[in-house]
Amino acid sequence: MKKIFLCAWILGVILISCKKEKALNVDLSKSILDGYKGNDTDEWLRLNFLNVYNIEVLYRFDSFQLAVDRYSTPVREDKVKPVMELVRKGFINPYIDVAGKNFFMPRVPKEFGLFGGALYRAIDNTAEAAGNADAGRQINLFVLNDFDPNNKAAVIQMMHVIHHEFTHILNQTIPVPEGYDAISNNYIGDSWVRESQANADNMGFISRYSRKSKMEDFAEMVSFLLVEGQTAFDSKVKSVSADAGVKLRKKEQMVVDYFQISYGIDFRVLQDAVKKSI
Amino acid sequence: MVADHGFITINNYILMKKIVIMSFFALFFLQACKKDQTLIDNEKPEERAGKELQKLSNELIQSTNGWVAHVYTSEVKGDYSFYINFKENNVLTIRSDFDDNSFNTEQTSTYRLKKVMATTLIFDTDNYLDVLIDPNSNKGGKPGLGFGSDTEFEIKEQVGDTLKLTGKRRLTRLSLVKATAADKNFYTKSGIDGLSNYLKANPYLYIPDEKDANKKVQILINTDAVNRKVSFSTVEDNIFVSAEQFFAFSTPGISNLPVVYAGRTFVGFEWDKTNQKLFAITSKGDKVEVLVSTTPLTPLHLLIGTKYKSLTVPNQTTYPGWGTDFVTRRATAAKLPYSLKLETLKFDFNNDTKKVVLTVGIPQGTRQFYAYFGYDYTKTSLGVYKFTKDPSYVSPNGNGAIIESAMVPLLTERLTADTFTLDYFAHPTTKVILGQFKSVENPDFTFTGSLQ
Repeated sequence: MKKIFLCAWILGVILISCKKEKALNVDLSKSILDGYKGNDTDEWLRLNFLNVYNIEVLYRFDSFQLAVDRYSTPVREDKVKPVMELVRKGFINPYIDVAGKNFFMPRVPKEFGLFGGALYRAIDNTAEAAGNADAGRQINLFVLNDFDPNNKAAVIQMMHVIHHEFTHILNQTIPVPEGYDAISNNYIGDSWVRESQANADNMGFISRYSRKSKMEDFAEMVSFLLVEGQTAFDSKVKSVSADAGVKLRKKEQMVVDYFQISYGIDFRVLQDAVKKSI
Repeated sequence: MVADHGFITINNYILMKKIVIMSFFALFFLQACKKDQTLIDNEKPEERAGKELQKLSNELIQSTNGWVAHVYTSEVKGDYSFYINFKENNVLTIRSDFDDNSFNTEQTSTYRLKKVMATTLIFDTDNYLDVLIDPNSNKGGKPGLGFGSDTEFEIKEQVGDTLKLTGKRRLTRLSLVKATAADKNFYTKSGIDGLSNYLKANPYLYIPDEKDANKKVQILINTDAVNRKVSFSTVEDNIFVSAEQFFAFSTPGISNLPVVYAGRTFVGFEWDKTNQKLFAITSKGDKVEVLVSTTPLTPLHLLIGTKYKSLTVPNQTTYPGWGTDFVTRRATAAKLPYSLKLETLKFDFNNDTKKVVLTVGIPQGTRQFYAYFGYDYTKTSLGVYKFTKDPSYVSPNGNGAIIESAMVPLLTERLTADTFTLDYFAHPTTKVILGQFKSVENPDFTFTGSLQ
């Protein structure tokens, strides 16, 4: 009895003391702590990417977009449109045309971060990447201040980065197939930077970076086949040793099967669409 | 009874304690959930912060002549000036004092003010300020670091017309001073351009010594962004005496940290645009007219190892002042093992020990490596050099041995085989003064490099 009385008393006190009579009176329109004002570029991005694909393009520099131990530099505003037009032409359109909106829209990264310089590691001030993907949500593109849409090599390099990163996003839902890493098992982590192209060729790797891990190898294969194209891949196979050539062919087949089995996408058709667009 | 009485007392005591504790709780609840609040200035914190941001934004935009900014870089120590006009809607226009292009061509970019930990000014798309950050800057700087500067600056203090800011990553100092009409003219109406052209046309400047009018004090103003320094020097009994400081172009000409030389303290230079004359300014406010010499006042071989500690041959395949033999031999040597790339050659001279260390930049992919070679040298009074391999030199790493055989065309067949003269060489377009080594035996083997 006494306990019930006590509890009721405490409850009463709490209820009375926390009674709210007024609505919370915060006027958010008076609380402007970021002086960001959109301009023509922002409007163009809103109309062409945010409204259409639900992609937000973050081009105005904010160091919080990168990890605290990484840094880069701001992008030139006049590079934003050409870069994003290329992204639409060489990445978004082919996927939507071949695989459909139902496949693409849930998977497309919701944020694109654009940066002028390379991505640097703060610990040793070394350039690390020309692109990276964060949790399947954001793709960051670097070194864009040097980007020239008429420079074929630069266009290929950038499309390579985007398709590489998107492959990682696909691998986050359906992992790299079993047995892929057994084809050439000389993965060496970060030491790849010290290895030569010739060594990679001999072991059946498509690029030096492929040697980092099976994830990177798979993404390098996909982006090479899509962006550099089948002809370039065939001549690559011919240029390396017979053993390495067999390994590359096995990996190629696993890539084609992965797209077919996992997502029902005809990789050859996708390959054509990407190649035609750039 | 006694025992009973005692029992009741203890019971009462426990009850009392409970009531006291409960009342405390009740008081806490009542006090903690009190809704009344008194606002200083009748404003909420976020409103005050927002107003402060707006006030600062207005101040930036409303300065009729714009702003003069100075950035004090940390990796390549220096002071670089910029002329900025902040406009509505996050737009700014900017010029900088690096070179002809940057002070004659205005750039437009965006900026914004944001409350983060403090009020922060962010230069959020690329402009001249980023030349100082760019790790691959064509203006030089350190790999991965550039000149050492920032993109995001916190506003620390406002003193009169000056805003003092500090960079968020590298703690770079940035000062913004409201520009006067004279500043605007200097940066936009070819004031700085005229001065720069004058310095290019007249590389050998001097002022008479205060005590002995026949003696000349050489003034060297190196405008090259990465080596930008002003120096005062004389040669006494073949010994070189000098003092130097970095500088920025700034109204009315050049401003530098005080340089004390032969009893006078120099703080900058005044540029008389109409009469095309330059005056050195002392801390007392005296003006000393700067005179022009058509020939170098000090032979370069007296300066290397003293004023200039090193000569850096740039990472190029051809360059002004390089002989055909050097170009061919450099190309042959560039075929290094292990995917290493042959980049810069830096000669560090030590005048006391008469030793020189050659540091060769040999990056592999994105990783920077260096190879080292040590030499002894002798020099005749006319400045003819002879290099011999230093048998006692211990390289800090084994990279020298790795590339030694590839470097034979440059080193064994030339550097240690020939004798060399050293002289000034003016870069034909930038007019920057370089050093040039010339082989006496093979006149086609010449190479130039920047002096530091």
